[in-house]
Amino acid sequence: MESTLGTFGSQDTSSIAGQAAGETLWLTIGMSVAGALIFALVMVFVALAWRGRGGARTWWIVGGGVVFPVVVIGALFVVSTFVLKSVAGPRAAPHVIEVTGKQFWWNVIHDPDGRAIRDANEVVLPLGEPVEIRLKSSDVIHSFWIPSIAGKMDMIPGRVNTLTVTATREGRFRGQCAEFCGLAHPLMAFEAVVIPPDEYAAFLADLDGEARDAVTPQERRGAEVFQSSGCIACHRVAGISDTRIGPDLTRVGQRAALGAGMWDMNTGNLAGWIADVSEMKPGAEMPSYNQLSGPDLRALVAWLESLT
Amino acid sequence: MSGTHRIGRLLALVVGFVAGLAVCVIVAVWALARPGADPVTTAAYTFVDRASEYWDSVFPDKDDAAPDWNALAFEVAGGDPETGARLIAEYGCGACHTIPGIARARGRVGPNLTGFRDQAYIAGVLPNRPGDLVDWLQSPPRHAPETVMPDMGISEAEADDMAAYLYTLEGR
Amino acid sequence: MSASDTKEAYSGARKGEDATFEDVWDTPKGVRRLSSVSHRVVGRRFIYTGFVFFLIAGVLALMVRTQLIVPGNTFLDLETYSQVFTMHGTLMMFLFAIPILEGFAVYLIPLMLGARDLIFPRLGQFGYYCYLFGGIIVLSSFLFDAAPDGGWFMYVPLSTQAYSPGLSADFWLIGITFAEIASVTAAVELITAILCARAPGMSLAKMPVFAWYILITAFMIAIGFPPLIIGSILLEAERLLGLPFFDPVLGGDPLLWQHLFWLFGHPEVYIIFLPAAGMVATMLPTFVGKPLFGYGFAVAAVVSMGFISFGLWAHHMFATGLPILSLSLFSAASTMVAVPTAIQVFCFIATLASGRPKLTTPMLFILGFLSIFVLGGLTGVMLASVPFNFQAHDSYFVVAHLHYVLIGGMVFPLIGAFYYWAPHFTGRMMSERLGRWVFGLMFVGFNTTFLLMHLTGLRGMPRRVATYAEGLGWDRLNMLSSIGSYILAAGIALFVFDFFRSRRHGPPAPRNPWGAGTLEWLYPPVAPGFNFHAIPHVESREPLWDQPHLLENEAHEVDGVMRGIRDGRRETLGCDPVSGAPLYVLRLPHPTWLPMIAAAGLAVLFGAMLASAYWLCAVGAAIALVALTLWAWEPSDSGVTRDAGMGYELPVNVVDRRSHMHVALVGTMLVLMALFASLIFGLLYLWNIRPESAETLSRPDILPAGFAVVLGLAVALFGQLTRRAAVSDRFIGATLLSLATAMSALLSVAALGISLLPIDPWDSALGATLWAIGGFVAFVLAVLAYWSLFNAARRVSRRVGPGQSMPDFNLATFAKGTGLMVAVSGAFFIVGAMGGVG
Repeated sequence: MESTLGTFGSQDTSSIAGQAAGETLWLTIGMSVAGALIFALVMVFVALAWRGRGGARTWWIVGGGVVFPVVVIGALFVVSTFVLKSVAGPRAAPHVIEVTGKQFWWNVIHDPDGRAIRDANEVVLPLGEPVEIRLKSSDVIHSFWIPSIAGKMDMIPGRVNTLTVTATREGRFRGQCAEFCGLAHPLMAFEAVVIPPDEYAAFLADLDGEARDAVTPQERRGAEVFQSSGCIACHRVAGISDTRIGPDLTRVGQRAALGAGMWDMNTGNLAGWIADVSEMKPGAEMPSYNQLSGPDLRALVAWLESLT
Repeated sequence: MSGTHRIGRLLALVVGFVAGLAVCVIVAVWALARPGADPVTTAAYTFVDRASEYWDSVFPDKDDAAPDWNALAFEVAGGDPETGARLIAEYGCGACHTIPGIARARGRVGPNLTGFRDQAYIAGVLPNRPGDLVDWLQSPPRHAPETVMPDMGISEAEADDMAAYLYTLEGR
Repeated sequence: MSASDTKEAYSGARKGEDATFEDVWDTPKGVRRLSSVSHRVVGRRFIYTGFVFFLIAGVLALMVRTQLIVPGNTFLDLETYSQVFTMHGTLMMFLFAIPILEGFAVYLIPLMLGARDLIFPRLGQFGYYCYLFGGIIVLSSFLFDAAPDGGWFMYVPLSTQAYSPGLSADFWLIGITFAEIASVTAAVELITAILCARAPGMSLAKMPVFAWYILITAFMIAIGFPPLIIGSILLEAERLLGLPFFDPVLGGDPLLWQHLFWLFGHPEVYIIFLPAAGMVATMLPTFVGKPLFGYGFAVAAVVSMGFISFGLWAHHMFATGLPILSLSLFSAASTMVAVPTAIQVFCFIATLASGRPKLTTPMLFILGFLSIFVLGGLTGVMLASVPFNFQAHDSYFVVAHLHYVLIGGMVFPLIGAFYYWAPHFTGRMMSERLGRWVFGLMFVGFNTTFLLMHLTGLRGMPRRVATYAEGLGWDRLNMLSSIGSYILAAGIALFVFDFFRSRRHGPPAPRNPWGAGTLEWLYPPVAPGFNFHAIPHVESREPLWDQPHLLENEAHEVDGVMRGIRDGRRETLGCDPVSGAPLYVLRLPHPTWLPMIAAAGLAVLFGAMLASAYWLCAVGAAIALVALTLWAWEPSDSGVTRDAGMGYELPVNVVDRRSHMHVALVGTMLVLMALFASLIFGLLYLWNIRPESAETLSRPDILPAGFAVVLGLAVALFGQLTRRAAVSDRFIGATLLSLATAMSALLSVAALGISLLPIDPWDSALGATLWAIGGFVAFVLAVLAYWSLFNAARRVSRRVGPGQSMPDFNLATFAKGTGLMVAVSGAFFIVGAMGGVG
């Protein structure tokens, strides 16, 4: 969706890009229509009763209060149980992604049982193939929700919840934390990127390994600044540093968004982010790096953008 | 109550109901439409355009006063402020600058651009004139090697639009 | 206020005629008014205080809507926004909805049932001050810039010390727990009042339907609040002492909090809805001119709703990863609640059809209630569908749903009730014309605000976000919602204006202005401090309709039992809980400061706990204990009989199972058992969810645990023996047996403590829970010991006359309940010691 803020993917339960969201949407539409009809029916009944003048009957209560609701909720129960089985029932999934909620971003590990490829704030899904998403939390309760793809699932400390999703449409889709997790909860979003399965395989292969080498002199200077200015104390860039306090930056330049789905990834935002993160994301633990000289900061930004 | 009275009341009721329903429908369409594909706003703009065209045709502008040189000095050739505003948001200028009229542009890294039109120099190095501003936007480090403001890969046409928007910012 | 002349004209209180009666019942003047225990004064205080909290919470809601009117707004920063929405929910749920409805119940129940006051007037005053002080503690957090900011359901671990340092969560936990005392005391008080103090002839089947609603609600409070109280105490213990109840690293579980919270939280919704529905069921017949159609159905529906409401708490937790089978079960249970709700709605509709409805302002609000609540109920059924819930949960769809249910189900009837019962508060009628405007503004504003939120939620907007990105399709919906909220607020403001305007300028209310059928309209609305000169015999559910002679004479001339007063004491009639037959004369207390002092002592205790001034805590506790002891230290009234008129010769304060004291004690035991059961639930839950942590737990000592059980049974036995001795007036025997009861209780505490000694509560959540159970049982045992010693002391100081064995009678019941708790917890310790735990 076009927006003056940038190019966020849609975040809408009716803009379908996943099997679960699709089936749930039909349930939603069906229930809404039925609900509206029942509501209208009751209101008509109220209007008729208003002019009833002594015509109350006991069977109204039995019929409207017992029989009718039992029939309706019985039917709803059957339907929604079928949908539930199809949406949340056990399924074999060829891919696994582990997402850990943190105040206020997402740590992502592709193929956690195998190569354990680290990333952050972006979940890449292969089109049409089930993916098991393992949901954990390292601090408070978060909730993982990509409305266009599937319903939400909580991330609870001490537990591992799983959500198996199948994406049905290519594109970028926005997700957001759905359980209040502290002050910056509204600023904790992410993006789900759906790509064809062959690209997905290539993507994983590409991810596997060290960060791209700095090429230009400015990029090399940026890499030095990254190591000399304390960035490595929190951030991992494969081949350079291996600390895992903040988001992994190995391929930060390839991401579409900055600051857990809050800003477009571009030079301007990235520079502003490093210089004054507390304004762009209140509540983030990262300090603002306004002690860097202009050229150093520009070099750092250039290098980070080159990490694709 | 007389018959006409009753008919009048009924008529008022029907008219009121229809008008209320129409308002509800229009508001609902407006609320539900995606910005950019919104029939209500489009219709409203079309209506305003037509009305002003009509107005101009009925009362043609006969004012031939001397040109405002001061305003002309800030005119950016080929710059469209509306496009400029969108580009400013897209390039993330708001990350460092506070810019009136741009959503979430509350940056504190660089100068506040409120009333930018009245500022004498750009970053203390270039005179604040359209040509220089367009140059500056395309590559700040070329003009001020020590600046923190990065080269964002802005094209000249884009810089024209952005400059046009920045010169709409008057008065601090 | 010029209403005083109407008071003269209508009160029927002729000067001099019954002067002593009026003096005895008169509300004290000036500052001493604060010491009043009358249900009229206390009930109105609850109502007015609750309404003030409503207005404050409403302003907070407007701040929320103002922040969200455009994307990326900076009206509030993230921290303030979190505080504002947390306090909005907290104030609305805990300090407005429940207390104000309790206020209406406290005010109306005695009037409707033909009682001169609630049975435990001092408890009412005590509850009010607990509520007031607790509310002030919660609100004062704004002054210390420490307002709670974790959302009104305070999920752990966000609300633990690690993620909410500072006092904000403590303000919430301590202040709300304090204020909840009021709900629980009111529940016990209302259960007892409804069961034990009704007009002669008013059997349960002839009770006004409002009393049924309140009775069921009170039972639900008694069972539903304890899980939250226990949860709050555990969480506060985790924050203050570092006990790891919810810490997954040490075998705890954050979901335990959610289970405890929603075990309370879901019934809470019905606790709020039912009294309001009861008001609708009371007002509706008045304006239709016919009794409630399907009374039996309505009562059955309310009772079943009470039961079902405890079986569907987990539908607030569908997204926490529950197994698919539990999801289906809770989903089915949740949809089932639609049946009793629909029965009630159709009872109301059928009532409409059974007469000629008049479109008065209260009736407008009833129609508003019907439409909004039905829609809210339907979205509730939608949310019970699990796959839909996965999408809608914690989105604005839920926000819309809960406001439809709560505002439609509670606020609309409440405002209607204000219009209906306003004469009772001001002596004047509120404006019908302004009332229509109030309704119109509220209805349009409400639907504009919340109907659209369903869509906002389905478009993916999560709740509790201080800001949102532009261009996601939420901007315009939010703007309209905000505009709607201002319209809704304008309606409320107009209502407040009308209320104050009518106090001065409204037309004076005549006797029974609406032509209602229930007893609260028997006297002119601005009656003096008393309710009934004589309590009339009641033959139907609408006595004012079916017994026309009640309205033919002036109210004070109506014939009934217990005309006037005896012995210069406040009295009302005690009845058989089922048949309503007169059973005893119920002596009531006079105005006193003691309950207020006790509440103030507790306020000092809790306030000092917040300030970490623990010596001051002890002072507060001492003040409260002394006040409560003095409160109880009064001569018994039982043991004599009095002529109650109309041929009734009744004992004063009967010593019997049907005594109000005993009914109240059973109610209290219900609360204690629910508290105990919540702890046991916690233990079993943790044991089940983290069996591996049980294996590493050290075992309780088996021998002391066995001793504790034996001593617990001894407590029950000695209690029972004391009762037998007391009933047969064996003074020395009863005194000695009291001492034996106290002694075995204290020994039992010691045995429990010794048995737990090998367990380090800081080491594991299970260990901490075992200690919590031990601590709770020890507390109950300590109360029991104190009470036994108190009884013995009263006996020794010759305060107890022949036949005055009620305290011992009650203590025996209490001792049996306590013995059961000791036995159960001892059994758990023994099972744990034998290796069953793990």
